[in-house]
Amino acid sequence: METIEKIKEAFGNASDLIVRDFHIGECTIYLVQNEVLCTSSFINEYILTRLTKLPLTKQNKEELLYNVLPDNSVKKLDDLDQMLDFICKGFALLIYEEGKAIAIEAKASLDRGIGEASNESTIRGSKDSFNENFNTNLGLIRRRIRSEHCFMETYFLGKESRVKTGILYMNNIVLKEHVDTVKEKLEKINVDGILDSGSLKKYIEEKHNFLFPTVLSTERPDRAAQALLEGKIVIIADNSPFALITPSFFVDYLHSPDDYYQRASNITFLRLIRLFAFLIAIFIPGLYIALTTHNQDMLPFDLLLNFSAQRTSVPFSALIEALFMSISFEILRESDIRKPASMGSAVSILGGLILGDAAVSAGIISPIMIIVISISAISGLAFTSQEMISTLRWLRFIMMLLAFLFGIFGIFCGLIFLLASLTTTTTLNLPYLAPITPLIKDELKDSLIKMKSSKIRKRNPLLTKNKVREREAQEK
Amino acid sequence: MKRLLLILLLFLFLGGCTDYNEVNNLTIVDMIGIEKQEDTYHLYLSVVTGEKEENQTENKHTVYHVTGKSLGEAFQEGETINNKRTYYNHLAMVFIHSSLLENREEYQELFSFLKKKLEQGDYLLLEGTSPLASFFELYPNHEDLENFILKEKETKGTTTLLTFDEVNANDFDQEYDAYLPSIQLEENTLKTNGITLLGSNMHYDDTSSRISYLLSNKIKEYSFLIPIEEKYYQIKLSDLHVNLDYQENTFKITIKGQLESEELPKEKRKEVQEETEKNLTKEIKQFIEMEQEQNISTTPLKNLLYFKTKKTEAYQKSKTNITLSFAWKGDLS
Repeated sequence: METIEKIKEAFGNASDLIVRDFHIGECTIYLVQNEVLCTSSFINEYILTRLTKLPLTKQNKEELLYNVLPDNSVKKLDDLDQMLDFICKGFALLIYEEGKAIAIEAKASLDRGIGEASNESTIRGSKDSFNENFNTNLGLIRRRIRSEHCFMETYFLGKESRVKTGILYMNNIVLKEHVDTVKEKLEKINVDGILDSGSLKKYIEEKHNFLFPTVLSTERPDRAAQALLEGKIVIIADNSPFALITPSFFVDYLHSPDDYYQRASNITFLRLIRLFAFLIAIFIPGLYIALTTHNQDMLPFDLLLNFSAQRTSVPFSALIEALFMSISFEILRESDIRKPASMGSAVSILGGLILGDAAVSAGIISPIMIIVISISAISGLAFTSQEMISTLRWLRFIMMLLAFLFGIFGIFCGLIFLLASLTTTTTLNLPYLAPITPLIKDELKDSLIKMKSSKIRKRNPLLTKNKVREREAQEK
Repeated sequence: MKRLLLILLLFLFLGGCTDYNEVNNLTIVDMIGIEKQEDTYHLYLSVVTGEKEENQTENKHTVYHVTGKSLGEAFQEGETINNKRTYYNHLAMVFIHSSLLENREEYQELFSFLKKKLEQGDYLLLEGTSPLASFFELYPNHEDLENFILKEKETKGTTTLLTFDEVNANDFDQEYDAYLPSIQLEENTLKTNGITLLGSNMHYDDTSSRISYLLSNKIKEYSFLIPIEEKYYQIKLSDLHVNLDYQENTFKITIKGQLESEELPKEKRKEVQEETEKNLTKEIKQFIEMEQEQNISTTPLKNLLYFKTKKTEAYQKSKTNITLSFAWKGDLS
């Protein structure tokens, strides 16, 4: 059949493309499927078993194939491109006539099941996380928002990858212009392949934002559901265990998934700790360099002598020492992530020993520098977002350089630069520092601090016109 | 991206324009001594270094001696020590030899030089009447001198700590005669030597110094020995508070405080109190008369007169009325 030949040719006679012909009654039916994308057992048990029993004639074959085969996703195809597309999506095609086929979904389950979140662990809260299956991810969100207002619009992105991507939003909460903006950005994507939701970020973020992340990625369905209820947009992509949430403000990166399962006072404390960690991660190494190279008079006398004594045998300047330690820490962190499991913790121990004790004993670095860089690096790891951790790293380097060049004055210049970056960053054309600036008093109750849930009754007016979140309980 | 690179390059080039100095490339000066002998200025620098020993850092003091034809030259000589830049921003004490304080012009020139050179003014000032080399040899750590003065202040009330800013402020005040506490070495032992008025040869002994500090509210307690029936008792005056006023051509001085003594029997208290009040009144009167006669004022009296009357001509003719109100510590009344 010419259609079969065209399909084979399109796939380059690939060995995983299976073509099988069946002579049933008066008709010849061709089964075309991709061996790796389809489930053979489903095809054998449900399609072929019934197919071979059908009393097919030339008149009734289309009707019988469409109505009798047991699948709710049966589609009629009459276009070669459509046929090729459905084969790639894991559908089994029954070509019954030249240029005509019935597509039945027989997708193989190539994902790893629902596991626990590895990057966003919580003490309380659910333990399930997204995986690489689009339907699973969608299902996990829909389990939490059982509302007809939870809309989803589907796109297939990437000319070759054609990754199924879904935009989710609450139709009765979200602002339409935000949805339109996201849709517009996705529609403009003209690239060969989108392999992960992370690749979508650069299309969604504004181009002038170069420092701070404005699209939050999460592997937790509860966090995604919470974002939907706030009036945000969630993007899920097939083959990606991370969902994207936009717009994301600066304060969102200080929040953790645990925030909605604990007491408000505990959460407030933890958020303030994270804010403090943010400042420590950026400023502590620079402050140390400034105080030891330019502004020694700001140090108490005993501390000055202590630093002087510790740095006596160190041959490098404070900046070189700090850079050496910072880069070593980053190398250690990277190798810890990438190392094979069989190596165990040997690399970490070796790295720690080398960086710590041996370097100090050799007189290459001073003990105080290890403390400073360690505190800074550990503070930077208090955030769940990898992008924010990277941002902190760059800011730390900038502050170190400014401190080395200009001392405390340089630190203040860096602080002004930081504030300027934060205030000029936008997320979906909304100010990144909201609700601090512009000041939104109601939203402040759940930003840097968290007040009792009974006092947080309204949504962010920047995200929705449907502001009321919680109403007074009606007395029975 | 190009803009960012340009800014980065600009910063790197500008880096050489700043006063960058590693902390371990600094010679930290703890105390300096300035002396003049036969037209040569001697500068003593007590440098402190931290030395790491096991898990703690110990401070080690080393004294360096440089000279110059002028003060600037001497400081220039001491600009670098052991290839490290001299660092004065944590200076704790400046020790000035009495030879530099006799002439008004000389000490004012010294003070203005110190103000320009050392920038900060919170370091202590002391005058030494013995050669400074011996002071620095025996007491290179300023804390030893400071502790000695504090102990003397608490026990005898004959000395106190003054910073450069305080002395300089007094010097600028026309109703005030600035002074420095003075110490000397006697057989390698520190001893207070009253106070020296700046720009003159005048020197107060310990008793006058104590009265000056008392009337300036600079001391709150001191101890003394009082003989009662051929036995000496240690008496301590504490919680001292002096109130000064000027009315009808009279300085009214009110002193309140507490008396305490561990050894004194209770029946002797009244006698001791009367004796103390009599002696103190006499000392204060003699002191004020002495200052009035010389038309000098190391206490706020002249300042008070100016504040009340806008002129100080009546200072020397004013009378003094002293009221002492002491109670024994522990008594309810």
